[in-house]
Order: sequence, then structure tokens, then C-alpha cells
Amino acid sequence: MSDVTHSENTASAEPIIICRKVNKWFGEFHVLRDVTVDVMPREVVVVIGPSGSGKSTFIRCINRLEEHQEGEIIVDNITMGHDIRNIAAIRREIGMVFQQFNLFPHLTVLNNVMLAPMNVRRWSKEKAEQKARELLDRVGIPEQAEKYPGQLSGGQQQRVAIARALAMEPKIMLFDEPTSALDPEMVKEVLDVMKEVTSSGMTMVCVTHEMGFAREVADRILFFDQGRIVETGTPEQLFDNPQHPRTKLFLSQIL
Amino acid sequence: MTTAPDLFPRTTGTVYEEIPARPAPMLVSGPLAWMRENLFKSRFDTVLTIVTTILLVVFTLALANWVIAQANWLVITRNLRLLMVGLFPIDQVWRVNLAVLFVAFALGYSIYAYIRVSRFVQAALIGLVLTMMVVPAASALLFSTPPSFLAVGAVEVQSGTISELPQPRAAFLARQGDTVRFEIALDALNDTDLVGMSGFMDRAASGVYNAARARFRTEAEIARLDALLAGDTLTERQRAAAQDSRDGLSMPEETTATYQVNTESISIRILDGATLAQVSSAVLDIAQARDAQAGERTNSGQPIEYPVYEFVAPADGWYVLEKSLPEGSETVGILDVRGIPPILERNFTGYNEYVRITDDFTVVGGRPMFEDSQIPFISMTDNLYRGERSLPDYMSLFAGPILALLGRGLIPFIGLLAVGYGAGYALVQLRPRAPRNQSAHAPARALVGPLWAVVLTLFFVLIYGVNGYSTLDFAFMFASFAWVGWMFFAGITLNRASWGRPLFASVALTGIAQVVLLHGDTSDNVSGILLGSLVWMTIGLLAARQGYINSQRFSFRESVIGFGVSSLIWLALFLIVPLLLNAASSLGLIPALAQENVIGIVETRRWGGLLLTMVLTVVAILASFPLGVLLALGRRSSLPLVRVVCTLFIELVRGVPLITVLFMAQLLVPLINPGLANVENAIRAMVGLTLFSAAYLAENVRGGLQSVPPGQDEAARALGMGSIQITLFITLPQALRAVIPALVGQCIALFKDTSLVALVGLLDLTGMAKSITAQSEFVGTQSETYVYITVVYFIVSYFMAFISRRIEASGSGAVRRFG
Repeated sequence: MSDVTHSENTASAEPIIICRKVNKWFGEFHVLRDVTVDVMPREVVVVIGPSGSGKSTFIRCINRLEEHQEGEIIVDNITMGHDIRNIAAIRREIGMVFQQFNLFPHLTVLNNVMLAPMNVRRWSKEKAEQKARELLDRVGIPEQAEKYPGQLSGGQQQRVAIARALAMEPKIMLFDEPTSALDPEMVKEVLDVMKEVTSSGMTMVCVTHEMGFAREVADRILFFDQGRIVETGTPEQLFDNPQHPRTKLFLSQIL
Repeated sequence: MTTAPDLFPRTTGTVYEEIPARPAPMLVSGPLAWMRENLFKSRFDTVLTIVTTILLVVFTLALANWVIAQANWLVITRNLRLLMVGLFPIDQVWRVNLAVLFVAFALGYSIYAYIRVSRFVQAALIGLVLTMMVVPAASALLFSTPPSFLAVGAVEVQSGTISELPQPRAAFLARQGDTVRFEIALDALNDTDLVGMSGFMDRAASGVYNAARARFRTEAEIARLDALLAGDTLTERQRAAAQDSRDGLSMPEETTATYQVNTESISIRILDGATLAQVSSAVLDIAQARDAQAGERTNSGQPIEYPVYEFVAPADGWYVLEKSLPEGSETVGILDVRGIPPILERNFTGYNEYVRITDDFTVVGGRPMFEDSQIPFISMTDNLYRGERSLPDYMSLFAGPILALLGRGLIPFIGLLAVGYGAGYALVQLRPRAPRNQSAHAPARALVGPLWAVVLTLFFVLIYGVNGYSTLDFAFMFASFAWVGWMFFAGITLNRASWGRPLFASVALTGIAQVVLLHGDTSDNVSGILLGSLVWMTIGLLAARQGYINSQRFSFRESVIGFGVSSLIWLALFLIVPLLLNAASSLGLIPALAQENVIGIVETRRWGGLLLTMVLTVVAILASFPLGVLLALGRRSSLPLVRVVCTLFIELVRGVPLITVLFMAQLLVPLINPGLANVENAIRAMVGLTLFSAAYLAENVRGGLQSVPPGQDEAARALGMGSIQITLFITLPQALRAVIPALVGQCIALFKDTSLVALVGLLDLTGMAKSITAQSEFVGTQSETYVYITVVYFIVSYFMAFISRRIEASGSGAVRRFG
């Protein structure tokens, strides 16, 4: 934990996500190796790294879509364990956006956004609908509320997915390569929404290959390789002056 | 650096002009071009087309020939009720009709909500209704019933090995105003004329006819054998055999001469069926007739006086025709009778019924008696007329009656379909607030589920029945329902207008008074009164609360309309209907209200025909659906015990033929637990079908569950939803939508599979067909019966398939995938 550098704007508060020596295996394959990282409230952490380096697995462990086998993950003062109530409580506070959007195809856009607040937060239909319309407005597609996801473009779908995650009023947002499945024309609209979300002061962990975006919004960048954090730092440190040879190699290949 | 060959010479950039979109060119035009393109594209195609056409034409012609000329459709017209509702008590059949009309309404409404009905289908339905209305009327108007020929006299008529004595009396059914025309069959002057007769006969007349026919056959055979013997194509042995046959044959005497047909006057008396008192009488003078006919041949100028006697029935009911030749006459007379439709006697349903074939005029009870024995009635003796009928006879005896009978059921059905369709339309017109980009009919969809719940409940209540309810009780019960609706609309007004509160209070008080009064009237004990009142009041208050909550969704106009309509319904049911009923019963028009048992229970063993088939299908589908879904979920469960039990059940049932399951339900269950021996057969069949269907349904649903991408589950979990919520809101809806075609296919298969219950003794459509063809009067009509039930099965299955295709196409059932 000691080697983690905190960004300056969160120094005073308790970390909201604490990972200590997290290890995970898929069968015999060691995916995560001693991942140790803290995320402070309102901090934006961007995770980069080559394919298969365990970035997605790491982010999925944070809301326990994957179970880690060793180590400790504490989110919002709740320790991840086998207790189902804990998991449900944590997931309520964490919104997640997937690479493949994973919208519910049988529900309209509006119902996609309203479903979880009504059933998990037990909001009234009126309240949920009001919130949903507000969020659809915020992500820029208020006019699509009655359509089905299949009728929208990829970029619009991903924006709906972001609205759906925000509807639960989470404390943390996880983005798992949100722009990787999009046509190049649509990447910008999604990144714009994500920037807007970061500017509202949301804690955010984002796996992405959009280096421009990472440089612009990240407070801190984690570079993953072979299941471990190789290097971390502010965007300036990492992009302009990478220390580790693996980081250098990676950056030289993608930039 | 520029030494490389210039393979791609650089050109200057070009901006192209905009090209407007054009309609696609017509590739095919004209019928000839279409045929060339589609039927005769290559030599092989041509051969296939021609072969298929030939097969189609041959098959169609053969079928049409059989349907029109050969088949005896009387078996269907006469047994239509059995085939449709089985042994349902005749005086209770109205319940089935009513239930079916409810279903038709709901169907029409659902069709409006989900499906565009093309003009072609509309036109086809209207055409069908018109056909069923016009053809029977036209054939009754244009074509009279063919004549019946009756024998008169005291001479025994030999027909093969059987000898028949003409019956002195014959009974017939007539309706008031029917004109019956008696005439001496002057045509039957020689054997050729006799053979030319066809129609409904008594046995003696039939005997004369057969004798004449046999004479011609013998004559032809003798001629054939003589020709053979005269020629030289035969071997010795063949010649000997032919000679033997020839020696055994002798030319019979002319039948008309043998029996001296129509040589004496015929006396006719018409008697009342009940009292045998004479109603009318006449003598048909044969000598006069012969003179007249001779006169006609020589001198065509004179008007001919045929000995004709017309009888007009003074009232509905049985009549007896008494016919005789002069005392001691040794001849046979043939009467040509027009206007007496053939009758069938039936006691298949436990009632002794006599039915006129042409117009379905039915009399229940006994027939006229003479000296303690029943008088035979005029009927057809056999199916000799097959293929020998003229078109008018065909129309008046077959096409007209069968269409009239079908129309009696189908025209109201189609009418109610239209009414349901119109109700959907009216609803959408009243609340035209479809959300954007949804079908304009979408608002109607919200009510489809509740409507079916109500209709199916009513259906089963009507069919099975409830004991001890009078009309009055039902009026009051529905008044209570109406009051609940009234409370809903009163609830809407609560907070919206200054008069809302007083209005609500008065409605509530009216209802409370009603509830207390009713229960005070019908229950004997205080606790029953209290409990019943409390239940109804609670329901009313809940409805009012719901109305209050939803008040924003109703415009002022809608709430006023709703309030008005529900008040009127309540008034009608609570005040007007009971008043009318009371008045009617005090006038003696209907039985006393208190004792009336309007819809008593009809035991399931009296259910049959299409009714039983549909009930079995619907019950099995409704019951197996939740069971199948649970089994599917259980088989995918992470709990090993649940998984094993579900898998075991599914595999066990799927590994066994349905008929085995049905036999197990019928035979083995009582062995397992003797208490179950009292369960009615139909119920056991329902259980068997349900279990069978559930296992297959479970596998279909499991397939659907597997087709839901894992990302859906992850997304839902990431939102914090619990596993039950995920199953209910995310996985199941998608899984079920994905397998709609398979589920509908299974429903259709189940509908057809219900025919197997015929093997365990139930009289469903198939079982009824089997037992109908076992009636002595319809022996040999299996083809007609099975063709008929084939058509019924096909229509219902095709309708299901049609609906499912349209629902899939309409999008509400489609899985909307990404991209």
C-alpha cells in the first residue's frame, strides 16, 4: 500500500476503495497478482495495459462480478466476502458500464433506466421516472426514452447504459472499456458524457484504450501487465516520463 | 526516389454530383413473364411444375367429387352438437354458447390490440358470414325437398331374400303451415320409371325399386353371357362355366306387372299424432288419373286433373299418414309425397329426439302409437342416393342444412369477434395517448391480460357451473362488481372537485347498504353476513384508493364517462334486473326465483367434443406453463437436489409416450392412493396432459434461458438486483420471448395430442367421432366424420399458428437484439 501515490486533491479523506494484495486465478492461470491500490473519493483512476493483463478482471472484482481468492477488497467500508447482503449493499453504491453495453433489450430505454431504482432502491414509479428522464437529458438523448435499445446506435446505447448506472445514484462508477465496441464516429459522444460525469465529482475507475481521454481526465493512471500493477502515476508522469521498460514499450506501440 | 513504376497515377480529386434515389426497376411484368420467371425457368422446373399441377388437379377433382357427390354429410349435420359440446345437457347448452361468445369477444379485442387484420381476411370473414346466411335461405327458397315415395297396399314385396309389407301408417313431423302434397306416382308405370325414382322411401317402396333394379341387372347379365357364348373367345372351361351361369338365370317378369303397381285408387287419411283423430282425408282416383294421362297424350289442349291432395298442417307436431287401397286389393300403390322432410330418431344423448333433416326441427319425447306399437316414420332407408342426386336435391338436403347449422354457431362467433375488435377501437379512440413510436393500438394492450383472466374465469365457471345460484343472486353479485368499479371512479373525483367528497361518501354508503342488505338476504348466519360485507367493503375501498392514486391519469371527460357508465350498470343490475325478474316470475313467465338453479354443475363426464378438446388444451397449457418454467429454472439451479429432481422428472416424462402417461393417470393413480379413484376421468386426463406438457415446456424454456447472453445477468447484478428479481425482470422475459415460436408449436402439438384421451375413454372430438360412426344409422360414414374433425383440428391449429406468426411479426414478441 505504501507505494501508492495519492493525488493531491484527495489527501485528506479516507480511501473509498481499498485493495490489498488481491490475487485471483482462472483455473491455473494467475490473473491478478498482489494488486494493491487505494482509490480516494472523487478520484478518477484510469487503468491501461495490454490485452489479457487483468485490467477488466480487476475492475470486475471491485463489485464482485468476479470473486478474488486472496487478499482484501474494502469498498465504502464494507469488506467483500461471501455475505450476500454485503455484496448487494456494495453493488448498490457502484455503477458499472460495460464494453458491450448490456442494456436490457426487452425494455424501453426509459424502463432500462427505471428498473433498478424501482426494484432495488424501492423508489416510487414517479420518482424513478423523473430521475430517469433527468439522466437521459443529461446524457443527451431525452427524445429516445420510449425506444427500445435495438433501435439506437451504439453510442446512444452506451450513453443509456451510463444513465442506467447513474440512476442508482452510486458513489463509484466503473467503466470497463466503454468505447471499445463503438464505431469510431461514436466514441467522442460517449467520452464527452464520461467527462461530464467526472466533472460532477464522481469517484471513477475506468479501463480504457483512449489515451487522450486518460490524459485529460485521470487523476491517476495504473498500468497493468500480466496481472500486476507495473507502474502508476499522474498522466503527466506516466505518459511523458514512463519509468518501467514495459510501460515504455506499451506506450511506444500505441502512441 | 521516384524510380518506381507509376502504377497508380495520381489524379486530381473529384467531387461527384448528388444522385437522387430512384425506385427499383420492375424486373418482371405481365403474367407470361411471371410464369416464365417462376414456373418454367429451366427444363427441370417445367417438368416439376407440370407434374405438380397434374397431381393437384387430380387430387382436387377427386376430393371435390367425393365431397359433393359421394359423401353423406348428414352424419355431421345430425351430430354437430355432439361433436361440438358432447353430452352437455341440451337445456344447458346456452352456457357453452355464452362462454364461447365471451371468448370470441376477447379474441376480437386481442386481435385489435396486436394484429393488423388485412382487408383480405376481413373480406373472407364477411364472405363466410354471407355464405352461411345466403346459401341456406336460397336453397330453401329455390329448391323444394325431393319427393318421398311410399308404398301402399297389403301385398308383400320381395326384395332379394327380404319381404316387406307396406306399412298402413307412417308418422311424420310437420310445422304449422307446412304444405304436404300427395300424388300417385304416375311416373312409375314401368320398371324403367321405377329405377329412375330416387328419394326417401319406406322399405316396401324401396323393395319395389330394388326388384326393378335387380330385373335390369339380370337382363344385362343374360345379355352379356349370351354374347360371350355366341362368340369364340372362350376356352372350354370358361364356356362351361358361362353356360352354367346362363342356365341359372331366367328373365324375371316386369316388376310393375308382378305387383300391379298403381292400378287402384289410394285412400289417404291424415291423423293427429297424439289423439289419432282424423284431421283430413282424400281419395286419389287412379282411373281418373289414367284417363287424364291418356288424354294428355292424345289431346294436349285440355287441362289435366291429376289426383293431387294437399294437406296444410294446422300446428307443429306429429301427424300420421294412413294410406290404403280398396278392401281386398292385391296390388301395390306408390305415393309420391312432397313436403315431408326425412326424420332421424336419436337417443344418443339420453333424450329421445326426432329431428327433421332439412330444418333441424326437433321434437323430444315419444312418437305416435297405434295399438301399443310405435308407428314407423318416414325416413330414408339407406344411402342409395349417393352420387345419384341432382344439384337441387344436394342443395336442399345437404348444403343448405349444414351451412345453416354451422352458421348458427359461427355467425354469432364472428359477430362477437367484430364487437371485440370494435371495443378495442373505441377504447383507443377514447384514450388516444400512445407513447411516441409505439403502435397506435398499444393502449389497448394494457387490458388484454385482465380481459383474458376475466373471460377464462367466466368460461370455466359457466362450463362447470355453480350450484344454488338464482338469476337474482347473479344480478346482485355483478352489482357488487359494478359497485367496486363505481368506487374506483368515485375515488378519482375525491381530490379533484368540491363535490368529490360528498359524491364519494354517497357512493360508499350506497354500496355498504347494498352489501349489508344482500348478505342479510342470502346468508343465515351473522358471521357470514359480517365476513361477506367486510370482504366487499374492503375491495370497494381498495378500488377507491387505486382510483385516487391514478386520478391524474384520467381526464375530466373520461372520469365523468366512467362514473356515469358504472353508475348505470350498478343501477341496472341492482334495481332494474331484479325488478324485471320479479315481475316476470309473478306473471308466471319464469320459474320462481328463489328455487332457480341457473348454472348448476355439469359433471365433466358430460363434457365432450370440441368443448372437451379445448378445455383440456387450455387447462393443460395454463397449468403446465408455470410448472414448466419452474422446472426449467430448477434444472438450471445451483442447488444440486433441486437440479436432480427437476432433471429426473423432465427426463422421465420425456422418455415416455403420452399415451402411457394418460393410462398411468387413469389406471395406476387409484392403485397408488384409493382416495384418488373418485377423481373424474377428464380431470385425470388434464393432470396427465399437464405433467407431460410441462416437461417439454421446461426444455423449451431452458433453451430460451441459455440464449440470454451472460452480460444481461452481469448488468443486472451490477445494478444490485437480487437473483429472483433478475430472473423475473431480466432473464425470463427475454428467454420466453426467444422461444415463443417453440411454445406456440408446443401448444399446437398439445392441442392435437389431446386426441389421445379418446383412447382412455373420453369423448373429445376424436372420441366423439369414433362413437358417432358407431351409430347404426351412420354406419360407413367414417370418412365424412374424420374429414370433418380433420378440418376442425386444422382450423384451430392454423388459427393458433397464424396468431403466433403475427405476434412475432408485430414486434411485441420479438427479442430486440443490439445492432
